[in-house]
Amino acid sequence: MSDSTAPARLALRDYSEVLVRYLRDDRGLFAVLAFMLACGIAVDLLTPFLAAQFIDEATEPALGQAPSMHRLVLLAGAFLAAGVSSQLLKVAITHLGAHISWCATNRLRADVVRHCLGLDLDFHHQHGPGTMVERIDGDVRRLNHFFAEFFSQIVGNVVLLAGILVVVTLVDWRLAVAFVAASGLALFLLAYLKDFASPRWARSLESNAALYNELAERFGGVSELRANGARDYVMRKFGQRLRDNYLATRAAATFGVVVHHSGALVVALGTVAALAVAAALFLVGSTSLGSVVMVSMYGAMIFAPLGAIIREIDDFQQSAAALGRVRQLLAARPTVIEGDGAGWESGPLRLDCEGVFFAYPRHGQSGDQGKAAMPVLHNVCLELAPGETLGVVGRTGAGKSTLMRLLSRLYDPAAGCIRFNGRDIRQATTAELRRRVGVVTQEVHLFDASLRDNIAVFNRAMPDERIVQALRQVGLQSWYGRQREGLDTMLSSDGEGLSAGEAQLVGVARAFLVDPDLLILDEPTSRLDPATERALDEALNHLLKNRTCVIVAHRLSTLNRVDRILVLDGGKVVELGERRSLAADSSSRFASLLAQGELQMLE
Amino acid sequence: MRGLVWKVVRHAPGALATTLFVWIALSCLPIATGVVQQGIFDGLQFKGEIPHIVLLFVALAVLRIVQPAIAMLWIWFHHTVELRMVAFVRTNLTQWVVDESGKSGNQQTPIALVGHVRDDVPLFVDIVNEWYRIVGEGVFVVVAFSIMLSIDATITIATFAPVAAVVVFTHWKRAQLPDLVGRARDSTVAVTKTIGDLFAGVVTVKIFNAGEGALHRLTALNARRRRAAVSSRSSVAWIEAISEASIYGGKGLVLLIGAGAMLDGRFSVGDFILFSTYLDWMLDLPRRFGRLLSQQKISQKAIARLHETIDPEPAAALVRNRPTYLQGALPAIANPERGAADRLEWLEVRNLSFRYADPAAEGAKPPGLADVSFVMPRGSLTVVTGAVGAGKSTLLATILGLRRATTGDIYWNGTKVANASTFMAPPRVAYRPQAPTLFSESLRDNVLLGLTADDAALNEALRCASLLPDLAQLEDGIETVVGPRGTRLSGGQIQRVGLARMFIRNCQLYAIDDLSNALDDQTEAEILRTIDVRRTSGEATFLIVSHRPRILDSADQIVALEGGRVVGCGTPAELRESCSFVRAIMEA
Repeated sequence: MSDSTAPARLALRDYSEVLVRYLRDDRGLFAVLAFMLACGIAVDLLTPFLAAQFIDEATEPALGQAPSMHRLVLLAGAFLAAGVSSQLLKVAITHLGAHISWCATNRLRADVVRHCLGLDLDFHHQHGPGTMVERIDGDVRRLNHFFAEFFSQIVGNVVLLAGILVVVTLVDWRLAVAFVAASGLALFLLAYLKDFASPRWARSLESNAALYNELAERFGGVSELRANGARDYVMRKFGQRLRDNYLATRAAATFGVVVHHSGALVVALGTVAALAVAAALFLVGSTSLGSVVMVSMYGAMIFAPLGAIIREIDDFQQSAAALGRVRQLLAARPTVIEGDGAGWESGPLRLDCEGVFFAYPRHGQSGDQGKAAMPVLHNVCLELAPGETLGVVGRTGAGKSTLMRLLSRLYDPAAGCIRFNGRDIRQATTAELRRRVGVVTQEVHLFDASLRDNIAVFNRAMPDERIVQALRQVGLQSWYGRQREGLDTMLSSDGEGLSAGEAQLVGVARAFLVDPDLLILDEPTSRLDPATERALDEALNHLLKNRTCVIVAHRLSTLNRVDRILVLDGGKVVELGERRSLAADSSSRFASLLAQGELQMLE
Repeated sequence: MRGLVWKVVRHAPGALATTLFVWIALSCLPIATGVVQQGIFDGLQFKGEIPHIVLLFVALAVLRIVQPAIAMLWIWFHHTVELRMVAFVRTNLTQWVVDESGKSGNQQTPIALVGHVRDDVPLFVDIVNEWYRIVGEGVFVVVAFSIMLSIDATITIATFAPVAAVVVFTHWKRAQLPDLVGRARDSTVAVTKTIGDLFAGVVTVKIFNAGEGALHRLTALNARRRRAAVSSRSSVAWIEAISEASIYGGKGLVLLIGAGAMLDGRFSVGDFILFSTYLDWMLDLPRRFGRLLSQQKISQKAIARLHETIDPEPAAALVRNRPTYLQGALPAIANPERGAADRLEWLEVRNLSFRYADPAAEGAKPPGLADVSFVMPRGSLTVVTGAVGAGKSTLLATILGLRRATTGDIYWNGTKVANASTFMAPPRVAYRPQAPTLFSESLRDNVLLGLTADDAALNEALRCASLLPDLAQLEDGIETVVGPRGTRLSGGQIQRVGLARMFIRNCQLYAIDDLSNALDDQTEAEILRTIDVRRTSGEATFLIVSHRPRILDSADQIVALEGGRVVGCGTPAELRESCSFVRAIMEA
């Protein structure tokens, strides 16, 4: 997608804003995490110190005293306990960190889903469900690290390093100089050389891709190659790719190790230098043997945090890219915005459209989706009294479904307005609009969810009895009776276990539960089996009663129920009138459509 | 499995031995480091000679420098060996695909086959890595253990207890991991599926104002996923922490048990440093052991998948000794030489049958072939015709040896063809399938496919395939890169590239599956003229699948198939009388 390119650099403020917003609910846990982290660092710093105390007690006890066995055992026990508890703390920190990040990313994920569901249909046509999954789940998952582990790794390791330096400085400042010089140089080397390794990795990945692409192509044409005697040719080309891959991968792997080891080497040499300084200090009598041991142990502790910090900075760059994309998604605004409330009177709604124009928006690069060929509504005007039923007919592409989408406010007209009871539908709140207007779409989407959620469309307040009643009203009671788990039966979005006709009935059942004052029904064009046909007719008998209805009709039995007919052609109203009189008038467009069999299902 | 792994090892024994040697050196380096450090601390504690201590410091610095040097050497050898072993098996597998795949009729998709080459082969070979590496770590443990024993047996054995405990625990815990990982994966799929589902049904969500209700469901799935992910993450952390804790436990025990000995002077500070250095490295062995066990399972599964792919070939075909061309000259491609016996006088197909190996695939696939016989004399045109799924393409493929005939044979000038797959190829036979494949290389390479031919010959083949006018329109002419990653050619152009590919091979018999596919009338007529010239001059023989009346009319012989059986075989005039299918086509 063109819009998934790297976004502009984010300011630090953007990060902290997201961090604060999504960690706020878990700030108690976060404080616990920070506390445990501090404890972990303290314990890690304490361990070499305990070892030093032990050695000093054993080798040069306080003046004039014999070494105390009791104290030695106590120190050794403390050393052991510190080592073990440091590891226990690490598990707890990992667990809590993962818990906090998952809580935060789950909240973010839900927010992004909520936000995106509210965006225009047009947005959804541009970004298919697959893209949405990648943008929402993929990118949010990449942020997982960002929320808690980033903190524990970067802050934790920086504090640990600082702590080591402080303790070593307390022994002698010259030791600290060796440590600082070594860590600084190592940090620089790691960061600097890393950029030399990445092009080699890129080349290795390229040679991988080249090898597998080559194979996929040759394997696809293998019979042709074989029967034309090109086997040696294929093997030669394969050999060439394999060799490229071999050389590139080995070079990348070896160079990657060079980066790691040059950093480690510098730290190791720094530690040797510090150890030499400590040894010299001991020999001149200005420090104890225990301190020399301590320096040696701290030296061994330096490199791991340095590596972790470099890794985290790398990860952070990836998180930044993901965060940028997520923010981009959250910045998208719908154009169809709910109003403050229309306050419609109860009872069937009066409908009128005045000079409605509409064209689907076109998109620069995605203009090849055939949007230009989609119908445009042109100055559509119509009126429908409360309780009346209107049948909309016309050829394929006349704009029937588009009109239905405007009436159900999936889109807003480009010009003109649509009013219910004389008030613009743009004034209505979403809740108000959806409570009063029921829509049966031509294609019924089944969710990967329970039968209950599929009929009530995730409305958890809907009592089971009403759901079962709706199933009965659309003639699905015997089908329902066969479902072993009743309303808890899981349906699947590929419609497994339901015929196309039954799915259609599910759509009608959904409308029954809404019990709307205006019903918009887009009949399926596909032919239904006779049993479903009968069930649908029966259901419509109930559904159309006491409501204002607009129906795109394809079946004669449906068309026979409507009071008035609207004929659309090329997005324009070409005829609007009483059904009976239009049908009787052989010069009418409606009559000629009937005669031409343009209304395919009319037989 | 052992036999296969052994064959892989034998592919690069020298390099593997070198790698093993370097690895042992690298693994055992901490032994020297420990001893040097012990010397330093003993020197300090017991006021040793200053020059001696300085020397030891120099040695320590040298060890620190040598360590990364050996590590780099090792990684270079390691990748050399690993990639060579992988290349060896990959070459064998690719050779199998090139030579044998699809003969049973149950062909895996190219993507699936590439998947085996890409993923399963390294998974198989990785077991060798684990084995050689455990040797290095084993040597370290043995040496380190003996040194520690010689210093103080009691302390050594006491510190080994936690290490042993870790071995047991790690195995026990590792066995439970896959389940947690699976649960985390399942709960992830549930979330992504739900998100995709909501956006696929976004219209429904909107018109029923169902966003909040749907989010409630998503939130529940999110929470389930969080629990699964956190427990999977924690369990990994537990294993790691237990290992690390056992090192500290070991060191703590050294101090605890060694306190008395230290006071007596039997256990020095240097000894403690040595013990704690060795303990840091000791855990690599149990870790490796656990990894080896799980790799064993992974490799076994990979081998099973590979074996299944090449079935009915034995698994040994994966490790046949052949060169891999990772170094030295790439193999030369020789132009096929035609001998006197290769001249076609007549080709006989006798009682040829083909049945799909997998009976479950029957029904979904064409019915195969049953008992097909006919004779093609030199310079003749035989047209195979029949309805969709009658077995026309299968007949061509079986004659060419692309499918393994269940029964029946092919006779070349009366001599039975022993191996159709290698014999029915240039310089005797060339083939144009129904849908030729273009490769992402120049048009020249696409036509030649490794053949050496001069420009005149190439031009002639392109002319016969009516490609010359198209060539003029391509930016780089014959050098234009085409195929999936190059310039797109039209369906008709691809068909004709296939024809040029066939004609350049200058063969005795040309087999063409569906000549007219995607060709306009005029081009078809041009190509038919070319075929007529070659045929009537006695230069070549043609076997063509078609149901175009014009082509059927010009045939010397028509073979009409139905359900894999011959329902009519004879001249066009004869079949017009006797075969309803042919009559229907020709009178249309």
